[in-house]
This record gives sequence, C-alpha cells and structure tokens, in this order.
Amino acid sequence: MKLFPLYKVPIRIFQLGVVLLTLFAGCATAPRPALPALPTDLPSRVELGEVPFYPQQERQCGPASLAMVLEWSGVAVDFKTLSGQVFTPGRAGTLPPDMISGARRNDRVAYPINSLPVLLREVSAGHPVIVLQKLPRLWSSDWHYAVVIGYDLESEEIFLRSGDRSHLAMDFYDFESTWQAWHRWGLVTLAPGTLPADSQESVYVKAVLGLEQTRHWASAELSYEAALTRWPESRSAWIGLGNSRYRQGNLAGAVTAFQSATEFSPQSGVAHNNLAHVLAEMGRRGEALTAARQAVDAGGPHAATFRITLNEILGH
Amino acid sequence: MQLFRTVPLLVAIIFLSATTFPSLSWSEMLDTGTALATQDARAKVLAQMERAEVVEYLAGQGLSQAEAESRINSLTDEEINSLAHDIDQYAGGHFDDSDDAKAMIGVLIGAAILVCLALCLILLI
Repeated sequence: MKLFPLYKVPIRIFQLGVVLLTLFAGCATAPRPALPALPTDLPSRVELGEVPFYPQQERQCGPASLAMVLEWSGVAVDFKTLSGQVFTPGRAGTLPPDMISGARRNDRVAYPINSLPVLLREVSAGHPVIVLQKLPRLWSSDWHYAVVIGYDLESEEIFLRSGDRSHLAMDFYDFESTWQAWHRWGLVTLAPGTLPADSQESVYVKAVLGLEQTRHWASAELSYEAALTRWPESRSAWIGLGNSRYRQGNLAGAVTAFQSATEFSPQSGVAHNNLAHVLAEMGRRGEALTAARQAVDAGGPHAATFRITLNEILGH
Repeated sequence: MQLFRTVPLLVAIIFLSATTFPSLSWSEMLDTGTALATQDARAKVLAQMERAEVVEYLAGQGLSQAEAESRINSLTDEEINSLAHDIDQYAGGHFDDSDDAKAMIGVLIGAAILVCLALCLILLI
C-alpha cells in the first residue's frame, strides 16, 4: 500500500480551500428585497429631531421605544410604570399587542403601519413610527423595537432611534429585510383628536374603537369627531361618537350622533337601535318607538336584539 | 389551543364578560365594536373565550392576573383574535427563534455535505 506523500499536504489544503470558497461563494450574496413603489410627492429628506431619546436598558427596547413616541405625543412618561404595562417577564421582552394596549392605556390612539410607503408618509407628516425588526446575529436573531425618526430618499436611508443609538442610519433594503419578518409591524401613537397622514377610514375608526374600549370616552369622542372631519359620512364613526357621548352621560349629543348615523346609513339597524334606546331614556317614547321599528325592519345579525329593544319600549 | 379546559377558565370568561363589556343601563344598546364587526353572538362568545385564554397565558408569564386583564381589555375583538392565533408562535422563544435553530441545523448539515464533497474531489485530483 502506497502512503500519501507528506509534501503534498500543503497543496491539498490549498486545493480544499479553493474548492470550499467556490462552493460557499454562492451563499454569500443574498438577493436584495424588491422595494415597493414609493410616493413621489414626499420631501426628499426628513429628520424629526424633536423626538425624545430613551437609551435602551437590558431587554427594554419595547418600553423605551413606546416611551419615546408617547412623550413625543405629549404624555408625561414614567418609565417604570410604562415598562410594567408592556414588558412580559416570562418572555423577557414585549409582545406587539402589549405595545398597542400600552399606547391606549396612556390615552393615545394606536394607529398601525404596515408598509414602507405609508411609514415614510407618516414620518414626513412629523409622526415618529415604532417598528419591530428581526436583527440578524451571528448564530441567531433578535426581535427588536426601534423608532423611525427620519429618512433620506436620495441616499435611500431610514433614520432610527435604536438601542443605545440616538441616530442610526440603515439603508432601505436592510431595513425592509429586517422589518418584514413580523408582518411589517409598525405603530404611530396619536394624541386624541389628531389624524394620521394615511387615509384609511376603517383602520383609523378601529384604532379609536380600541381607545373607546379602554374607557377613554372623552378622548374617543374627540377622535371620532376628528375622523368625521375627514370622512363625514362614516357610519362607524357616527355610531362610535354616539356611544362615547352616551357613556359620558351626554344623551342629547348621543341622539344627534345616532341621528346622523341613520341619515347616512338608513340601513344600519344598530344606529336605529341605539337611537331608540337613548330617546326612550330621555322620555321621548314616540320617537323611540319609530326608531326601534326601523331597527327591526333593517334586520341583520342583531335582529333579535332589535326586537327586544322594541318590546322593552312597548312595555312588554 | 383547546377551547374547553378548566373551571378557572370558565370563571375567567364570566369575569371578563362582566369587565370588558360593562352593562349599560339599557342592556340592549349595542357597543361600537359590535356595530363594526357585524359578528353574531357566537363569534362574540368565541372572542370572550380567546380573551380568557390569552389572560391565562400572560398570567403564566410572570404578570399578575389584574395586569394581564388590563392589557387584554384594551384590545378589540379583532386584535384578540389575531393574538390568540399568534400565541402559538410566541410560545417558542422570544417570539419564536426555532426557525433560526432549524435554519442553523440546515446550514450545518449543508456545510458537512459540502466538506465531504470537497474531500472526495480532492482525493480524486
């Protein structure tokens, strides 16, 4: 048996290196994600320097990011309290829904952002946006919240307050690839009565509904009113406005709102039903009966409830 | 997720029904969430059960029952629905890093195969 000659070892190692490099070269260049078409009417460079900066402590990127945008929107933030509202010890982190409920518990409308064009539009309108990124590490990856405070269309960069950096520039492609990991989760926190730059009626009304459900009736009322300045015929906003006013004991205001809802959506059984209730409570029995009958006529998934309302007013 | 689990779960559902949708002086006035969702009563009950499950999950993650409820009560039925769906994914790690682990194993196996191939090639040279 002929032995492998020792002098050939360095040559073999060199050959092995060449072969491995050739094989791995294909893995090294990942394709860049395609960017969506960006709006053409945006200012070319924006940086919201007025957004406060909270350097992140250990695993506290969620509370720190939320603190920055809440303080920007006018909330006096107590970091420890806020952390208790959103941080989950068992997960050593913050779950996205807790960022939403955390914003609402601090009396802010939590408006979701899910695409780069909408994100840039909000930032250009002066609204910082919290984003959830999946940052690559050597052996794994980390979920990380940061706040987008600006962008530059020419250099294709996003500016963030991230971790312990008050200004981190990240190119559009890297940003997109880290942001898309969790459905491009983004969040704007708006003071009650202010609107996002993005114009989606149902998304905004649902965001206000979350505030209403958190029992911030007065703030919900203000925000529904704001929604109606942009979408004057929104049935949902009129009904939400009526309910928020009713919760604050403003019966006359509730009647006005429900009446508007029935004017713009005569087929809405809920609007007629709630109108009937408030009218009956005010002792306007005749009008209440008319509204209750209209609700029953409208029918729909809540028809059973409408009949109960009618019977109650009839005194059955 | 199992829907019917334990007695405490049912108690939690009843409790949440009372806290999340406080009764109005007129019990048949419909809240805005109901108006928006056009959902029937069954979907509403399902959302209540999901709320109870999510509260149970959070309470198992180092939060007090009251804090877990405060968080969940600030979410709409639609958000609860997607959260209940996502919890299975959260369960793995800080969210779920198991995908990374799988990818890492894939990379290691791939690298091992490549090394073997390279060695075979060299021995053939």
